[in-house]
Amino acid sequence: MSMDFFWEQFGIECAEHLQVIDQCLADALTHACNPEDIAKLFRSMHSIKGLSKAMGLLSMELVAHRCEDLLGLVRDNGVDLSRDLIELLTVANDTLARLHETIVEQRLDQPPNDALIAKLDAAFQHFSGGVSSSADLPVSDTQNQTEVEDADPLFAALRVFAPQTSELIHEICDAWFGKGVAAPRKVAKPLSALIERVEAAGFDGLLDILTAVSQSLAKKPADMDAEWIGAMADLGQQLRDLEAGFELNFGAEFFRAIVPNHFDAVSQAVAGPLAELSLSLPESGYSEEALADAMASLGQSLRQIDLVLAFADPRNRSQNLQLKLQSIYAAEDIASAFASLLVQIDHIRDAIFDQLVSGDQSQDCFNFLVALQGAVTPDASAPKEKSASQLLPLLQSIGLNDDFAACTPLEFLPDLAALAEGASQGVLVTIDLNGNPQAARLFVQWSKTHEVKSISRSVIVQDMTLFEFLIISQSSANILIEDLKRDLGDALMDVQKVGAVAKSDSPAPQAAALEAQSTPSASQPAPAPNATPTSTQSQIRVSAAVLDSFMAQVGCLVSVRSRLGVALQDEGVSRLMESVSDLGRRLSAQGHPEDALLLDRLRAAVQDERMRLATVQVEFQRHLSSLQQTALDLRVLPLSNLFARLPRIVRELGTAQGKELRFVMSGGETVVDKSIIETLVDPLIHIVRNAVDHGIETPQERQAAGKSGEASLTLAAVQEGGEAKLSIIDDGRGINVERVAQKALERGLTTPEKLKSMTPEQIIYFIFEAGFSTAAAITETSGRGVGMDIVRTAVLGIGGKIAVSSELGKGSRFDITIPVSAAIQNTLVVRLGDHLMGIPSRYVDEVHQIARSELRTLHDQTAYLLRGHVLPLYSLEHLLMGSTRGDDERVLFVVVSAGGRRIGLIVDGVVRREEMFLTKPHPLVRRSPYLFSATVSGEGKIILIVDVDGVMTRLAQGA
Amino acid sequence: MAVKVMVVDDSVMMRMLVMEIVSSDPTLEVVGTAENGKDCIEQVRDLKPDVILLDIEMPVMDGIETLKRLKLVSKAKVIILSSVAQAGSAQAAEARALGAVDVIAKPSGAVSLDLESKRGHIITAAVKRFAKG
Repeated sequence: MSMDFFWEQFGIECAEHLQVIDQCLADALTHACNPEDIAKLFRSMHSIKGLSKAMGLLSMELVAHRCEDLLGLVRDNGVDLSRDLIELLTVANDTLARLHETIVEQRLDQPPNDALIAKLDAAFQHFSGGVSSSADLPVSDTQNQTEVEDADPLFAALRVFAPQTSELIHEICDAWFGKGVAAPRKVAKPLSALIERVEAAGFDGLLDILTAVSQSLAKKPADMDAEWIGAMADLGQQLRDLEAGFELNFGAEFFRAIVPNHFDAVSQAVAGPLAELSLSLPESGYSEEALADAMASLGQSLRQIDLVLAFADPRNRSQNLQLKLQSIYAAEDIASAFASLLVQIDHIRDAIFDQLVSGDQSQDCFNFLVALQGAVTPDASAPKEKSASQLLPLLQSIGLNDDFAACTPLEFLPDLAALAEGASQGVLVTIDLNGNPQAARLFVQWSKTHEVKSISRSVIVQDMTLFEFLIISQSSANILIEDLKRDLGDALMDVQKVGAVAKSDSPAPQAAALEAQSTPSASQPAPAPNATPTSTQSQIRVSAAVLDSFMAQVGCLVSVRSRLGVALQDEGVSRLMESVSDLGRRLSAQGHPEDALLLDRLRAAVQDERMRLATVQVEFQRHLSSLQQTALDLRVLPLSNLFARLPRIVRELGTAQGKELRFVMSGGETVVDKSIIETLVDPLIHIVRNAVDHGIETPQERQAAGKSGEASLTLAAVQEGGEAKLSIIDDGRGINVERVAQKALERGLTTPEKLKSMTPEQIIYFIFEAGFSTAAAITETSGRGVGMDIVRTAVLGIGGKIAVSSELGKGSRFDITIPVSAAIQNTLVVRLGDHLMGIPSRYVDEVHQIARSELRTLHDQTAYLLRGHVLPLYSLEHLLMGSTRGDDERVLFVVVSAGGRRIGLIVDGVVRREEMFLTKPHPLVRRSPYLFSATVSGEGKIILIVDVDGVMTRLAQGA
Repeated sequence: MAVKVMVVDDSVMMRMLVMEIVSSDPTLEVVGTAENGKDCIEQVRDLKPDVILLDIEMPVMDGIETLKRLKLVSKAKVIILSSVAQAGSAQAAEARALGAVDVIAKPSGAVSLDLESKRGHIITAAVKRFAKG
């Protein structure tokens, strides 16, 4: 189809419409218009707009669009087609006609008639009383509609058809869910009756859907559910559309009624087992068996809920409750995941029941499904923890380091078992992949040509990061070793056989031995290692000070970029450009089109410049981000550096004190910033020593208490996003909370009244207070000036958290959460009056805004009832500055938790969350017990970072 | 099997334009056109299209009225093609409530009417997406 055709067609059609408009407007001058005439007028103008738009003819489109809007006001908003309006529209139509003639002749767009456009705009403003856009105007003309309805035989037929259909649908729905269980076979009779009627009436649209329902009935039971539900839900949707279209009752309400009538019964069927399971599962230890049983029994009930819900919201029936169940299975804390699922179902049942009678319940059901989805999230670290307990014995029997446990995927269990039994061969290879770029390629090639399975981990030897691969293969180990040596050459640092060997006799893998000897600090000079790095490596020693300075510079760059970003978003320039625009229009109206054009060019030029700047900024950001990342990576080391000394310390302590210990470490390959490792070395040693000294009992004591003679001490590291969690767990005698409370009183750290209101979990945190020690004397092996308070300060200093929990007689557990990177932390920026404060995100649970009337006062303490728990509220401003303003109607607070306590901090506003580059705490800032450090925001404002632990401590002391 | 498409619009030029766009895709076939809703309903039982591209502003029976009736007489998926009902407008919402599967803007703006242009693609893409069911 050539352009000629379209130009011709445009010419012809437009001319017709222009003629119609001309005639209508002329008629309107002499006699009043009826709605039909107005509609015709509107449609023709609409068509002209559409045609000129399609041809890209702006000059005509701009005029036609505004005329259409004006006519829309007449047609839909009751505006009178007055003489003035008619005259204006006539002028416009004439202009359109002239434009049309020229355009068709030249086949070229013309310059727009700004004066006319301005007049039409003004008229629209005037007549609409400020209605903003034609898109918002309602459309259907109900008066017209009822006339059409009466005249149309279709409607007459439908008035008979609809109630009959409704009855049959009622039967179908009842039969379907008669006893609370799907009984599709009873549906057949009313269904075929309906199909007959529909066929007779020639309603092919309905017929197709009903046929689909009928066909899905014929399927075997297993397939029936999904298809059947799908077909029925489609039917429900179709009926709803028809009801919306014809305002007659087709029976869609009976579909809706299924939900309230049966949802209750069905969800009860689920709630019961769920409650039982949340009790019984923990007892069974969440064994795989128990979980499988749970899934099976729940699955059936949840499928019922799915069926019911599909009716409320057919479009979302893909949200399958069974999938939610799967994700519970993978959740770390299964009990609470089940519990929360239970709560969710209860909550939604209530919500749905309230809404169902009246409004649109599909939204609620959809929300239900979304909420369920949010109720549980699979935790990637959970499988690792499970496998560790099974892997360790296997690894030990093969002669491998326990560290391998954390990096071995579950599916390797059978292979490791085979290796342990001698059914396959294993080779442990150490390769320098970082220093030798070829090595990676060679190794990949090698592993492709030899069908092997491998597990790998990284190890630190002196300053190098090497990779250790456990290769399992059916081929002879000797041949493997030969091939490796040949193919990898210099990249191969070490290789040896592993497998079903007696662990005490075989030499420990060399890399692990080297690891144990290496020191955590990279800046100390090291003795010549046994495994000599090859000469092709190029490495540089860098002093830590230089690295720090480099990091500081990167930090400044981050601030600078932020400021650039802020500047580019500045509203000021946009407003300026708008003024320029206005000026241009005015000049043009005053008859200076060339000047107007110049201004336009100016505006375009400025826009271009800003676009370019914005693009540059985006690029800058990209490079800066990767620079940041590289800078951070320069400093990261695996935690195994931290762990290195511990096994020997534990062994020596145990021997000296006559205690039997099993010390298990995992997660050594988790990487964190070097400074963090350095800071944590002593504290970690202290905690471990403490555990052995005070926590672990002698074998006799243990047996007397009914425990195994051998105590277990576990050190586990897990990476969770931007944080790493270090857990030290022992099964010793636990921490005596009574004694802690007593000591706290003795040392004047608290008062009896305060103690009364604290739970044991909160009291235990007194061990971190300065000047606190339950040891009768400072022994040789512990308390060498490194108390728990110093441990906590150290952890806080690197931006971490420390938590402790314990059960008397059962054991204790320390959890240290540390950021992976010391330098950059996620912070919630809040506003206090004119000041900006930062609260590290790891403390922030949630933010709430309530009415002042919702505050309570309990024991002179302002509080709020948050989900059934009392949350004490403190004004942050009052804490920091001693002043309070604020009789504001709305109270905004941030819920923070630390040290087992939870409080709300009242602030004036929440600004944003920001990744902040944090500097070391300044001594001046640290003078305040509530402040941790200070930093600079993107706009160059100073933000003080709140020390949440400090706040908690002071509050506990009754400050 | 090609997807059967019907084009309903009161402008000859528009019908031609949309037909050109749709036919440019080998998996789509225009089986018929109509110049208003009544015309469309009368033909639909014989043509049995899979997808109907429907304009709103038409004489005799407009798009909204047509849509209501189409739900009864045809299983075709209806896509509203309009220069009035932009995505967020009340009219678009009404059309969706009545069962239209999508509302898209009519092709516009290219004086050179390049049929390979993106605007044409929007229409063919929508047709293909909904034809699958």
